[in-house]
Amino acid sequence: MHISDGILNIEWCALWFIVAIPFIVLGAKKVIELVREHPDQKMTVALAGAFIFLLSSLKLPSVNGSSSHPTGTGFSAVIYGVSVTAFLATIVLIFQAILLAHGGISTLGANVVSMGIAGPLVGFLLWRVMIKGGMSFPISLAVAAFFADIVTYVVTSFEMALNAGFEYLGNYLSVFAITQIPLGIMEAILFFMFGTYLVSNRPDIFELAAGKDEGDDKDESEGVTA
Amino acid sequence: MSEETQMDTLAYSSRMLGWAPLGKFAFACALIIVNLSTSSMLVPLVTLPIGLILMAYSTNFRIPFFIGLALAEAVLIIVLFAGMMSISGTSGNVVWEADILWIHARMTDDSFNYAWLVLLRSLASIAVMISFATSTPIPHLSQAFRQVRMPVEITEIVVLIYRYGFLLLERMEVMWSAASCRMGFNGAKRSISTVASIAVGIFISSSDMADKAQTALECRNYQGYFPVYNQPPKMGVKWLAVCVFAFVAIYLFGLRTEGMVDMYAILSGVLR
Repeated sequence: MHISDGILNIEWCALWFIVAIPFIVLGAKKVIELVREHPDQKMTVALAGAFIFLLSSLKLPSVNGSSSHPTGTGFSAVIYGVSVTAFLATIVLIFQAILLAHGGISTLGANVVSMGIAGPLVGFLLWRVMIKGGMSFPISLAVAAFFADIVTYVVTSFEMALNAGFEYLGNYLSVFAITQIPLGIMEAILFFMFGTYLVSNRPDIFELAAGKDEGDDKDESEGVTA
Repeated sequence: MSEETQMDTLAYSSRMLGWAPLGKFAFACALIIVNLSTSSMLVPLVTLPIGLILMAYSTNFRIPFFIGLALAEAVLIIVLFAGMMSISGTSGNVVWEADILWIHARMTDDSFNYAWLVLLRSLASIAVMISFATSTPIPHLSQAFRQVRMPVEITEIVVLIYRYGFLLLERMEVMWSAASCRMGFNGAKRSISTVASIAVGIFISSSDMADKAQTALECRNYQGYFPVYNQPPKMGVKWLAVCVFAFVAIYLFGLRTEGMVDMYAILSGVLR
């Protein structure tokens, strides 16, 4: 699912880096602030990154005989926010590119935009809307994971179509759809079960996420007042 | 031995371990970028052997099994992608045309050559990057980034993610194998349920692991950073000169050889 080195032309590689860098820098700043204020959080942040690395190595079978994997960033965005997820996804993508030849260094910007920014952003927004609409945590998590996954692949198709010629967007989307729609549904079911387990075993995780949402709202409203 | 340990052992036993990590990284990036800078097919044919020679010098091609599998998978994906590009032609002489399901496949000499260019570029990049990965332990690279003023918090989180990522992966493999022995993957519904249970188990154990690791660090007088006494070598002017020279030389070579290789003409000639 990640775009490998050599596939995108140099101009597009540069453009996607320019788009990704502000998010990565913002995420890095937030992580540095968090770790400086609460050194005890360093392990938790690192484990969140390790969890994304792990989920993106979970190979699930797909309909066309190939296999694909969850992105794991939808969940991370719900719990830790979009910019921190973008930063963690960048580190994970670098590891995957260097150690597993999965993705690439020149295409890192494009992969961060699709997997670390666009997918998590949509997942996070949907999560907030659904939680505010009174939906349960597991259902909201499942919907967020589904759309984070699908948007990641739509944006990847978009990036490749911009490089090769926009007339190919339909081809890329339809080829990806064969794998990704069933995978997205599987991922949604997986995260629904995951959410159900967490609600019964670790409700504090969702209380933290809900508390963060309220805190964000409060910050935003304070910002508007100021 | 775990995957991370295998990779670390390989990197620590590499002949290129003593080379500056940032220098190696800059050199690898220079080769990857120069691959993309011209449309000459000879450029990846130059950088691919450089990557393979470095890999041979670094490790004698002793690649851990799981890395080998990942590489094979990556190459397969790239070959499939290149195949798809070759049948997505818009310009040039049409050499083959057909309707495959809902896709109208059209191979032209231009699309065929472009697919080969993409394939060679990708393979060359993988060779270069793996030669770097098998000669540089991640903690060395992370420490090296402190030489370019990267905050210590970031470099430490990079190392921790690397360490814990593989640790969690190892735990997951044990749980996966245990679930498999208990018929946990018998049927689609049960498989999804099992994967969900494993994901939850790993998440909970990762959060427990974070708490325990924090307590263990505090017991060892953790002051907020991990001191490193053996710093990796710094990237000097020599490395910069090598990177610039390699980039410029290959780039100029690429400009002069653009359009010289026509894979369609070569392969159609061979097939005839």
